[in-house]
This record gives sequence, C-alpha cells and structure tokens, in this order.
Amino acid sequence: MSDIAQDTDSARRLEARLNSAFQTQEREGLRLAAILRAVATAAIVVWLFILLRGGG
Amino acid sequence: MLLFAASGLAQYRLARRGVGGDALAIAFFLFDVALVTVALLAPNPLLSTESFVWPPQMSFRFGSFNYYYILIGLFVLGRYSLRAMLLAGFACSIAWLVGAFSVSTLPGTLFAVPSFDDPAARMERFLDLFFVSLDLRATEIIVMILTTIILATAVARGRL
Repeated sequence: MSDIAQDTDSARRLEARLNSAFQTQEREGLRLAAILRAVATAAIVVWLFILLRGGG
Repeated sequence: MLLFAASGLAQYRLARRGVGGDALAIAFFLFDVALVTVALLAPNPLLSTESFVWPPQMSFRFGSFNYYYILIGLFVLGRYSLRAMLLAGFACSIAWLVGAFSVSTLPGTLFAVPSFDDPAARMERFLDLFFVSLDLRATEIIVMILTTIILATAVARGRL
C-alpha cells in the first residue's frame, strides 16, 4: 500500500518537474522568438530603405 | 513591422511574469496573423501611382504565403501544445482564405483557366493581371494544414 502511495507521489513529482521544464523551455523560446522578430524587423527596415533609395 | 516586433516582446514579458496558456498564445498569434495578412494583401502604396494602379489580384504573385511559415515557426518555439499548434495552423489557413476571398471578389477578377487543348489561351490567362489561381490557393492551404499536423505531432510526442 505504501509502495503504491510512494509511486504515485514520485510520478506526481516527476510530472511537476517536467511541466516546470516545459515552462522554462517555452519562456526561453519566447525570448528567442522576440529577438528573431526584432532582427527581422530591423533587416526589413534596412532593406526597405535600400529599395526606396535605389528605386527598386 | 514595429507592431510585429512589439507583439513578440509583449508575449515574452507576460511569460516572464508567469502569464501564459494556450488562450493567450493563440490571442497573440491571431493578432500576428491578422497583421501579416493585411500587410501581404493590402495595396502596396509603392506600386501604384496616379497614372497606374497595380491590381490587387497581383498580390498573390509574390509567394507571400511563405511568410506564414515564419509565424508558425516562431509559434512552435514558444508554445508546446498540440491544441495550440493545430489552432495556429488553422488560423493561418482561415486568414489566407478570407484574404483570398476578399481580393477575389473584387470586380474584374478572373478564375477560369482554358483547357489544355488551347495552351496559348491558357498561358494568356495565367499572365493576366487580374487572374487569381484558385488551385494555387488551395495547394497553399493544404500544405499549411499538413505541415501544422506534422508539427503538432512532433510537439505531442515531445511532451510524452
């Protein structure tokens, strides 16, 4: 009986750790996405500037 | 463009404060999709002058649909959820469908393609400025849905 309780507790702890790891990964992913968006925005602004100056 | 960058930053800031979930991720994604759809299909002010107006139907000639894949890629970086992934793919498809429908219903749009018996007429139709290929639009949407299902499967497997 106590083995089953221990297993359940262990599984719950494992699931909590996994969820926490996923949240960290998602947060890191969002950080990377925000940086990529900023880089893309800057690149397109520069490209537009070149296009407008050069007339396409 | 600035709104596109700001949207990503806002989502990251909220995540750092512990605010997240599928609903919020999808809300931000819908905003991005709407923004990109308008940017891709709205008339380009650089292409038209007083003497020459570029037909809106020409918006489909630049392979613009590919930009949705960047959105999908960015989305999968920040949200490991099967449901959210599928919703994101369908949101892109619906947005493109609505955009294509709104441009295609403009007066003068041509859809019909002459049969293979008349190749010259067929080519002439493809080169017509007011021609919108429904076959290509359908292909774009089907490929997007398939890609989304594959990515959603990968996300679901990653969570097992």
